[in-house]
Amino acid sequence: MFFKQFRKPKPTTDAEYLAAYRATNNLEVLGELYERYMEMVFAICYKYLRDEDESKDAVMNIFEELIEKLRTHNIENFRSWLHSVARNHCLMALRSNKFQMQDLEISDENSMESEPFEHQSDESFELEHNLSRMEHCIETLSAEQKASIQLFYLQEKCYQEITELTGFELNKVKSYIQNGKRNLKICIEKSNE
Amino acid sequence: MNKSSKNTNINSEEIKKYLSEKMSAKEMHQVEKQLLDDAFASDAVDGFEALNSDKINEKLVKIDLKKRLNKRISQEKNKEIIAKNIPLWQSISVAASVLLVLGFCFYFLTQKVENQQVTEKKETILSSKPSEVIISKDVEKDDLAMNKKPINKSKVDKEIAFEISQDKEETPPPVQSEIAVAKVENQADEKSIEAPPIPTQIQQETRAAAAPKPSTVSRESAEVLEEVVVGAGSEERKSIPQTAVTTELNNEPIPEVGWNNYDNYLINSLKKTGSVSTLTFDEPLKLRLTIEPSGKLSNVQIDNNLSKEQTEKVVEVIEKGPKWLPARKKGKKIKKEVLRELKLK
Repeated sequence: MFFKQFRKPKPTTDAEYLAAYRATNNLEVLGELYERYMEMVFAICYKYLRDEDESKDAVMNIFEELIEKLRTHNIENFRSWLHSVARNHCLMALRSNKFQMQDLEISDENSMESEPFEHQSDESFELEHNLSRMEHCIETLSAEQKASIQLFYLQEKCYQEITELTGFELNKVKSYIQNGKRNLKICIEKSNE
Repeated sequence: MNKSSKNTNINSEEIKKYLSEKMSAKEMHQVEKQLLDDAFASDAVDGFEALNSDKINEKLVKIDLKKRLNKRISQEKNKEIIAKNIPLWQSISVAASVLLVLGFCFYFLTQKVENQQVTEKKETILSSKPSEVIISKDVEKDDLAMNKKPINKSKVDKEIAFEISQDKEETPPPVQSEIAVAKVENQADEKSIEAPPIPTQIQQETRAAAAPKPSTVSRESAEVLEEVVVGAGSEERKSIPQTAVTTELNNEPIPEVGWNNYDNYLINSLKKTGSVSTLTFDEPLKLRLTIEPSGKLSNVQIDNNLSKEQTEKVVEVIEKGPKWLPARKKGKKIKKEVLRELKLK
């Protein structure tokens, strides 16, 4: 074991880190991996908890969860898995903090909105393959969604530009694009059947 | 399509850059596009936006979090070091090296002691051997030198010398039988039936000194023989056994030729001078000699009532006689006095 550590090249990808950690149970390995995502985990926790110290504690508690879970679980997509672990942890923390019930509802709404996109990376790729079919589907979207989607995907404008061009609010542009994308996907799936 | 197929995950730095609006519109679009497919990153973006709006110093938070993480890791590391690493290879190697050192120490110490013992033994052997050799050699020399005597006498002497040099035990069987035969011969009025050399020996000796010779032979031999053959009590002479000469490494001074030969010499020499007749000695001749460390004789005294002339002659015989080996104490030659009683009858 002692020599293995020197012989083995340093892991680079998430999967390599996870394999190394499972093999050695070395916290340093897991720490290095976690450090990559720590800021983002903190940001996510802050999004839900809206408290700096609580979020910091949550970051450390999530690390403890990882120590245990990663010993036994074989995780393929660490990034999305970490996201769900972090979000669940924070939601649990929120539930125990009853005074923040209001925020919880808002957060839940937000998370609901973003949830459908979680496992769609492959399908979005397909989305562009089926542009012809998509053109038809775009026509079925609402005017706001259609305008935002066209500006974003076809003209490759950023949110800021879209707000300037359309006069919509930034948040609304975001949701028009997200919801329009979802509707498009449903439409294309239907036409494929 | 090319840009969207880029499957690089957005990290916190990109998000911060995006939020700080230091990107071109195209870059921003790129990030936004990726964020749509990356729930983790888009959640984080929301978080970073909240942090910015609450004006929380993200850098300080990052530093603090790193510290806490490292602390946590080092705690585990220390545990592992105590629990695992030491027992595994470090403790084993330490234990092994300690055992090795102890083993070597033990080996060399015992080896040294053995060597010392061996050298001591060698020394004793070396110191004891030469004297033995000298004895046996000198016996023969002296036999030849001093025995201007009948041939058969020197024969007896030679035999005795041979016995001394061979083994220092008391009278071996051959002599016994010879003497037994000699007795028979003597009684059978000098007519030998047995092998010729032995009878002649006895005959000549009886002629020379009214049969005192057997007594000397018996003295060299066992007491049993003395009683059987001669009938003369010679228990006192037992006090100087031959074995003592070699085994005790002469704690007492001894004649170089051995006591037996020395006694023979004295008796024969005294007879030869004619001045001291064995007939005059009813009691044993009591000698007191002091042997110097060099082997020289000094202070020869005779405790018998003898005339001055007789005493001088006896002293002369002794002083001219065989050389002496000085007594030894712890390997060193020392001066020592010898008491000797010699029965002449």
